[in-house]
Amino acid sequence: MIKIDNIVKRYGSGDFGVSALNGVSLQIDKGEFIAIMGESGSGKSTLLSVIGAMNSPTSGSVEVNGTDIYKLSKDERSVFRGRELGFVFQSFYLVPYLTLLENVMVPLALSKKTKKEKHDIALSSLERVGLGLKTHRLPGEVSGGEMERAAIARAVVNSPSLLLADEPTGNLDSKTGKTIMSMFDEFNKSGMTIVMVTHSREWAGYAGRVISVADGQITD
Amino acid sequence: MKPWNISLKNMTRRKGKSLFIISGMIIGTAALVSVITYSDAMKMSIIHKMEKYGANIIITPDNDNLELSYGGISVAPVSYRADEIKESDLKKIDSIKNRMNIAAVGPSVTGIAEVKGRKVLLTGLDFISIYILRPWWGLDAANFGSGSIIAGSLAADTLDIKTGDIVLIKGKSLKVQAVLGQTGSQDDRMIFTDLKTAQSLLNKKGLVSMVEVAALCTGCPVEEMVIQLDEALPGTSVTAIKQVISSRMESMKHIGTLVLGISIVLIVICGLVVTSTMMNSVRERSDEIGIFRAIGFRERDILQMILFEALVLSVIAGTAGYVIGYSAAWAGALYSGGDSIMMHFNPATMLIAMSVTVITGFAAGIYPAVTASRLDPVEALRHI
Repeated sequence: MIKIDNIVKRYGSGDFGVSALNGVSLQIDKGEFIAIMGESGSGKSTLLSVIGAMNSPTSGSVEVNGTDIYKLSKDERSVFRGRELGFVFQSFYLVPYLTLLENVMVPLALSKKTKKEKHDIALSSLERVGLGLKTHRLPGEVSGGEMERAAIARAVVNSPSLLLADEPTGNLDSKTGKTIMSMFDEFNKSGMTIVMVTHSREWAGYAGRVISVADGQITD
Repeated sequence: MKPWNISLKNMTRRKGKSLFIISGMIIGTAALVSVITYSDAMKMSIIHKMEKYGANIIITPDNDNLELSYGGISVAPVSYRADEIKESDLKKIDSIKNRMNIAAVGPSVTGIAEVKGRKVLLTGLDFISIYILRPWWGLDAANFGSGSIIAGSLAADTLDIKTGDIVLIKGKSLKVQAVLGQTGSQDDRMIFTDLKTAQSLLNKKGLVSMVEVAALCTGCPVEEMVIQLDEALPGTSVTAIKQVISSRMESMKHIGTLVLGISIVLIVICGLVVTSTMMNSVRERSDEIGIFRAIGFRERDILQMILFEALVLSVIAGTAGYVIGYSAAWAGALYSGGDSIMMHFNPATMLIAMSVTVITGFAAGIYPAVTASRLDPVEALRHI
């Protein structure tokens, strides 16, 4: 389902350039739950952003569901992200002036669904992460764990085939972290492919496969 | 929810920030409106005052070419011959296109009369139009009528007459109703009576020697009125008193240039302030824009969202700025000039100010919008 072929990503050029990824090749099958581990600066987040169609590699190719995503135009990549991918970030990135429900509705803003359909889908997504009673709260009015759950609801509202998560439990306590990982496990069991970057061996234990990255290369 | 809904919610739920962004625009628009409104009012006041300087169009019989200096102002060539204009023809003046711009029409008849054995220039005037055509006389038309005369200062001295005296002209007794103060014009050497009496005394019944017209110049090209009058009154020569018109136009031009200059400076400042504040706003919202881009918003979706915000904020700023600016101009006029400054509502000013604000605000939003739309999601979110 995801085929990464000899990816090189360099930031800057010449002597001042830095290689974040050095010839990474990887295949991820449909329905897999992958954990990417590595030290800070190892290139794991860069790898995630390259898989997420947000960061053009210097060389190499990335195929997601049979589409070579970096051969698409910028606009086509944006549409592809909205349709096929879901993102969860460590810092939640909820829009502060939108309620949780509205935040979850944001990925649906460009779809042709009716207002009611969008509302119902977003509500269902929030209920799925246990926030059905806090839909009209602003992000500043709920806890960190609830914000992360709302961010997860937003990531899965379009029923993406691939969920990309960057340190999703990084800012959460252990108990809330377990709740989040249980949700990921549930999503994965329902057929969603998940690629998660984490520092934690405990959370990596939820994944079916763990990939280690060091100095821009897969080491294990 | 549509992208523009997100923009609206941003503006309505972050009122403080929105107000901060548009404060520059509001101040700029308010300043622009107050300057335009106040100068417009000043212009109206100046025009109003200038129109008190009397006639600005002279109609004379069309014949030979002797120059006549009238009050130091050059007028059309007129003749000393007895050619006259028929009084009945003057009705045609009411038929011209710009008749609404005519404030007063003053026909006069002039001839030689003998008073106390001396020859003197006698002019018959329409006393009712005196307060418009000769405001400097400072006379009230209601006090004058058939059988009364007004004497110029030099004529009164020469003829040894004073107010209240009775003088005999061609066997008709006329009361000296007033003696004018010195005007420095030919009026000082003349005596005046009402038109009908003069026509009778000078044997020029139904005839006039000259017609003075006071045209309201605001928004009306006097040159066009001259052409219209010339066409309506064949056989006459219609001339605009160039000095009066050019001085009026010159004053208006200066005020217009000043206002235009101030307006351009204000618009430029306003545009820069809006660009700067919107750029700051875009920087503050880079996380938000990054997440929009990450979850599928295209560059043009972001561009439209920011431009929509710029447009809505500009309309709000334009409206608020107009109200504040107009109020400030009123307050300024009341404080500085009282009733002498003629404040009035001008829909054109409102339209111009609103359009300029919206166009400036929108244009100033283009650069921040393009910058926002080109934000790289990875850069914007930093953590990825």
